[in-house]
Amino acid sequence: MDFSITPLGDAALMIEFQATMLSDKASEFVHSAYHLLSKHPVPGMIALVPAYTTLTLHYEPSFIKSDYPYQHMKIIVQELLRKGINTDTRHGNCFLIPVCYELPFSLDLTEVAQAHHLTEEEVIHVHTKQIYHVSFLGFSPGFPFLSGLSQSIATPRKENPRTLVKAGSVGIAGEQTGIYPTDSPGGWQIIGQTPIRIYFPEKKEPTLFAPGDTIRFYAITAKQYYQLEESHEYNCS
Amino acid sequence: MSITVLKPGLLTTIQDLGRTDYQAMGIGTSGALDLYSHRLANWLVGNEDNEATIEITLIGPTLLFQCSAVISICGADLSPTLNGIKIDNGRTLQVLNGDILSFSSIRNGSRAYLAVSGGIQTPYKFGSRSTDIRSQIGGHYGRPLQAKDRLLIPSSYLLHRIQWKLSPEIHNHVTENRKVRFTKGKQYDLFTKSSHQAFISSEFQINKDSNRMGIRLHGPPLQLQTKQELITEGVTHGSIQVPPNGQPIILLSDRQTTGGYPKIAQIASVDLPYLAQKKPGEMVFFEEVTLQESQKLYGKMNQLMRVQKAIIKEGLKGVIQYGG
Repeated sequence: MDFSITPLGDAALMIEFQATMLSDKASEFVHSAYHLLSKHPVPGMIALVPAYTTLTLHYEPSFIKSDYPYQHMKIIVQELLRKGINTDTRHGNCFLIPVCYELPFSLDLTEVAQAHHLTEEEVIHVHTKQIYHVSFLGFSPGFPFLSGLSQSIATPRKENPRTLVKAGSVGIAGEQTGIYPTDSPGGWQIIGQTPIRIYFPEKKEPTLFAPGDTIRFYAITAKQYYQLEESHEYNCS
Repeated sequence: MSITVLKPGLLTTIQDLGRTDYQAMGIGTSGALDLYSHRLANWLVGNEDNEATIEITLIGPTLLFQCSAVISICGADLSPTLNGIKIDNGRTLQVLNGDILSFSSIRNGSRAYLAVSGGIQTPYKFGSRSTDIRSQIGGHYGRPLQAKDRLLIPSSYLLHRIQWKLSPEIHNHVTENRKVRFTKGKQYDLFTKSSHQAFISSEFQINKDSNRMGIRLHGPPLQLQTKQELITEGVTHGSIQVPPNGQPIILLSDRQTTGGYPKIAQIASVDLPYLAQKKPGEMVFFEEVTLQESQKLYGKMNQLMRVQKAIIKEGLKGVIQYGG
């Protein structure tokens, strides 16, 4: 498997797998490299952040005895990955997630539909038909980046990010779809909202999803949304 | 043994070196924005680097000490007073039960760090005491301090008065005005030639809506050669992302773990404390350095800091006592 290593500033490097777009293959290599480096931490390494086709390795340059810590780190990581990388398929959980695609939750549904000359119903149909893979968690705690979005509704991010997107908002950004776990700023096209909580800061395992899980969405009405929101005991798995 | 918040100030949070281990779950690092001042403040009260300090932003809080404590303030000079009497930044000071620490006008800088001997004793969350406001974790109930909050601290006192203070050049990053050094970002080559030129030859103004997540800049719009959507990938403290409106954002401690906007540049780590002290409305100029230079500068700063830490440690040997 081909990969490249490039600097990300003076305290991180990015391992990038040469795969086309959001193929599951790239994701497998990212997960494999992530597990390999987690098991065999390189001296100076402080964190690993997986994404679709990249693994970012944060390091502390002052912990590395070299006058060019990046070069030093790059060589060690390269050798480790060349020797040890292999893809092992991980068995994840399967989730069915209710989403209300009606207003006031579906802020950008009309815009997304118009961009593709589709009706709103067609966008919802395409979005709920697909099974998505959790490629990684990022952007904010427990935010699942899902691969598998149909090209037919892939839509660029908003020109001007919103300063506040509500927790549970389901969005599209390019060929990605995902769920906002908490209220946060964000630039994704919001097509609906789920009443399900996917982030539990009070728990030891704070996130509902893990990389390798699969998700399918189903449409609910606004009335059902509010009912589910009220039932605290609602079990989503 | 505690501190009670009488007035919270503009944005007062508990911070340490940050929460590094949960980034793979999408949990950001947070942590002090000016890690250098945070460290200095800790050293001046005999703490190690990672004890929690109180990060104070522009308008300081009013705090009531309910035990004796050894404190220090570093970073921005927000005119601190103890019981109405002016005190200095960069000193090891004794406060007594009933003393009131407050702040008034901004003399320089943007963020001050208040350290107490033994550190602020809020609970650890995912391995850190840092407040992550957006994710509502760490610090005091995952939020900025409010009036009536009570923070636990160990009681401590000085065996004798400490006469010396930090010399100004040790923390002149708060007062000086200079260019900010950067290395090329991962998507640097995707930007137009004129954007590259604009980036190093223009001044950028810090927007009012900047916060602990990022410094939003206003300047000539930076454009990609061809409009394109990127695949989300990792970002760091100091990544400069450019959203489609062309206005760069420098990511800080409360940044997300990943981002999807192209990165034109990365701030040299050595200059992050300097940036953390800039105020909305101020201007920023950029200057390119190579990655190797950037790492050399950082290495040099670290060496100086190690020396500084050793000197302070020596100066405080046996002087700080706990209990009492």
